[in-house]
Amino acid sequence: MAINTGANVSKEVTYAALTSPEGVDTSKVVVYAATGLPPGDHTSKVVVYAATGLPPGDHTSKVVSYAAVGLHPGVNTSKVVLYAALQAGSIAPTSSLAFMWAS
Amino acid sequence: MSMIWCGGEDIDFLQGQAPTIQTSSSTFRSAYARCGINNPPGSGSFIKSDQFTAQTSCWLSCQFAGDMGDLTGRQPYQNVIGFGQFSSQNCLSIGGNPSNGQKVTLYKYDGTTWTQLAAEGGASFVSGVHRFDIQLISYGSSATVNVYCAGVQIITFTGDVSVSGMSNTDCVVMGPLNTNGYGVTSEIMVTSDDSRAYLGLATLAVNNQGTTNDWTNNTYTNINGINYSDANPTFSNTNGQDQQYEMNTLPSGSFAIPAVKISARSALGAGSAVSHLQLGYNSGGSVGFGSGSTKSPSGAYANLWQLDLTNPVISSAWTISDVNSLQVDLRAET
Repeated sequence: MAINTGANVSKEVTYAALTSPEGVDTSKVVVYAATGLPPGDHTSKVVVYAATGLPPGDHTSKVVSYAAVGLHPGVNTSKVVLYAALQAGSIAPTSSLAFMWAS
Repeated sequence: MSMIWCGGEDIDFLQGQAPTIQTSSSTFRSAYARCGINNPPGSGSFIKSDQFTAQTSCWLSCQFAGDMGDLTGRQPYQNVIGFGQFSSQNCLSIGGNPSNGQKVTLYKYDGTTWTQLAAEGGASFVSGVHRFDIQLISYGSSATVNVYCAGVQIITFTGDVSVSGMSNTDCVVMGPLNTNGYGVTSEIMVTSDDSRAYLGLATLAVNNQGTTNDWTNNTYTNINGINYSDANPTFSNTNGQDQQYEMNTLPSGSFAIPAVKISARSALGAGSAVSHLQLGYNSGGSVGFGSGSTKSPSGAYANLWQLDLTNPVISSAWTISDVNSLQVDLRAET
């Protein structure tokens, strides 16, 4: 399995399996991506577990992938709300305001 | 004499634990707000507002819904709301009383120890939405604190309200709690003038794109959630680009508008050509920005806010017609 080890990968851990006539098997790979990513697809975590004692060939027993939320270059805004303070005068009474005056 | 800070949605209170959003219309005034907030479940739960300019004398106002009666007998206190220290959990707050959960109690908290300062004679933490105003005069060893419920004074205390290491207040706190989240708070305002003169705080949500829509991914529903989400932001990496949005209108009636505030949860992406976000308005077809409106977002999302006591487009007091036709303007800048 190809693992992107570019600038966005903050941690990679590889455990080598001990039993394989074809060479080294990867029994576990864990990749965590840093925050502050550029746009696009990013994998923040990949976990691969391979069984031991396998016949020749590629084997993957489990893959877990989480997609990170990346920031786009530039200013990103995810929520906007505006408040207006009201003072003096009066507001037309409505049912939803009744408790204001009752309290 | 004026507004210092105001808020009432999740993005204004993300400096401690994330608040829980309540949308049941019985827990807030739906003509003014679209939700209330309360502490997340769990003993010790503590939420904190954005930081504002430090004060030693000011008013704190809110609407609060919650019958605290079933908290009778619980120790220590159940903090509802108070004046906090941004760098700690130190605070001067009102909350329930162990002898009677409905009895509004004034206490100070140093992060470990609760000290009761005064308690009301009656019982005001009862069911329904109620207005509370707290006046703080000269925080310190010789302070005065007055507490009002629905405009009626229920506590006056003069004496030492100081907490070690805290010399003023620069945020609003809710908690810590001694049990699960309890009560819903909305329309929170900190003012230098008498907060009892304020009718309330109207929340105006984004409800459409505006006149100028230069940013990418600018569909208004991407940024108008009651619960914030960072999954699908609008963004711009071009200097001078404006993104405008239309807003909901004010409650009907006749009133003055002493302050308008924009809250914008924002961040700066890696490798950006721009580095600032300016928060302003399109008012009557002209764009304007108030003093201090250029913000510097960081690489992690945070709430940026701009408080304008007057309409910066026309340099005059806000009017109802101004606000009802107002568009918020986000401008990306180098």
